[in-house]
Amino acid sequence: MKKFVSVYLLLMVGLHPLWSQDSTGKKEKEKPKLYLNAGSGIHFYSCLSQDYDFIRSGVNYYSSGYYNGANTRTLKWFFTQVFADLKLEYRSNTDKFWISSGLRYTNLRSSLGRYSSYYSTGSDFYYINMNKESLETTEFYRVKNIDYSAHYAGIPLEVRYTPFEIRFFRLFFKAGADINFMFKQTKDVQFQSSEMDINEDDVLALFNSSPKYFGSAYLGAGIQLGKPGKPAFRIESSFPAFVFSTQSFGLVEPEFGGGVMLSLLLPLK
Amino acid sequence: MKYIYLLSLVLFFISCEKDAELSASIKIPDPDNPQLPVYSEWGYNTFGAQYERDVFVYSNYEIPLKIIVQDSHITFFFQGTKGNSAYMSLKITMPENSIEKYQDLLSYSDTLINLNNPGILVEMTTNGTTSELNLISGYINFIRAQQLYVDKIEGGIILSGKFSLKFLSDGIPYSMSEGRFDLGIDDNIFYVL
Repeated sequence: MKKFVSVYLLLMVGLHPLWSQDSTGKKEKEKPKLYLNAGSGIHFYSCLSQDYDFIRSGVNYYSSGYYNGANTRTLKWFFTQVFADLKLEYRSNTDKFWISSGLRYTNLRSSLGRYSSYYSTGSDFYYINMNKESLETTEFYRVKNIDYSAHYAGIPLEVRYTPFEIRFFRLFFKAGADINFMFKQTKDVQFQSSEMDINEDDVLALFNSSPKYFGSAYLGAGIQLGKPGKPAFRIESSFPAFVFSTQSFGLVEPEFGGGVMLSLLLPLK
Repeated sequence: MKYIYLLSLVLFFISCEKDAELSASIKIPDPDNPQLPVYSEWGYNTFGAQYERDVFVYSNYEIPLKIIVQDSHITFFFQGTKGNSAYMSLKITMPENSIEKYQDLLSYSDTLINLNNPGILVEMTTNGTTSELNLISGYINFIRAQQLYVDKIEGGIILSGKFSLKFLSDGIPYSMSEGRFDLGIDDNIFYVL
């Protein structure tokens, strides 16, 4: 116990210059307040379960040593947000608060496919009823997947707080939000039979499009590697992350998510 | 000519082939009575009815409905289980001259048949015994008969409806109620004898 306390005290004394804001007896070089921040990241989202009244329920069979059965979960959803930023970052006088804003490109990708798990077997497509209103005919199209990809330009605003300063390694916490506006959207339907590709527009007409605008908000934490006043590298996580819009998100309804971001900082002045 | 014949043969088999999923039974429980499948018109290959305090429902081990045309009669042969295990069937035979192929069943759409009409025979198999039912009342209502297309190719028909009946057995009345069916029909379950 005495040895442990002695080693601990020695470490605290030895590391003290790394933790203190001012080095005694040295005039501190003025740190730049403005940085250029270029980064990229990805957020994955869980989605709310949805029932489409024009999609036929399917069956998935399970066969194992303990259980042979089936369930009727038919669909799986996928929603991601990939983004790239170019921002200016301003640092407070105490160098504890960092505020950044600039331009952001975001790609929202969503897909609607047939549910299957490692232990289940079944079809890899689902049936869409194309004329649900008809009394005399039922017409199914066999669809394997529907993919949306929407591209947005936006403005992010992020605040980071670092509780202490270390020469090379800095831990920080962040809160951020953005507003984004669509400039392009692509949609794709994969049919079970390629001969059905000419009917893509008929299937897409049954679903909402991606929103023309949306916002997102997120909390997170990360580490910055680099000497003060020099170029630095950041790796940070976001959790939780939310997206919201007054319009539908199209194929799926995202719930909440999280992800990672990498960025490079260059001091400007 | 040879190639036209071959192409026709290929198209014939494509049109007759049914996805395995369309042949399977898919149960969506009725929220009011989860032991029974909900009434639907999707060709889920299910049927069910409340039978006294038990249920008569489709089984994953039997073809839920077979249709037999013979001697100017048509028979709807429902096979399933009483409760979860014991085999049970209900056979409804009625006079019919106009059905020669399964597609002709489309004419049954929006048709209510009183099971007490002359010439209609209702039989039940339960506990290994088949008996003709002494009907008090009953009906079978073919609510909707639809032509089915899959990827623009004909894939059979969907027959959906409801049924109910009351009968006497050894002087004791019995009831089969809340019956419903949603069945895909094609050449595989349609027999002309």
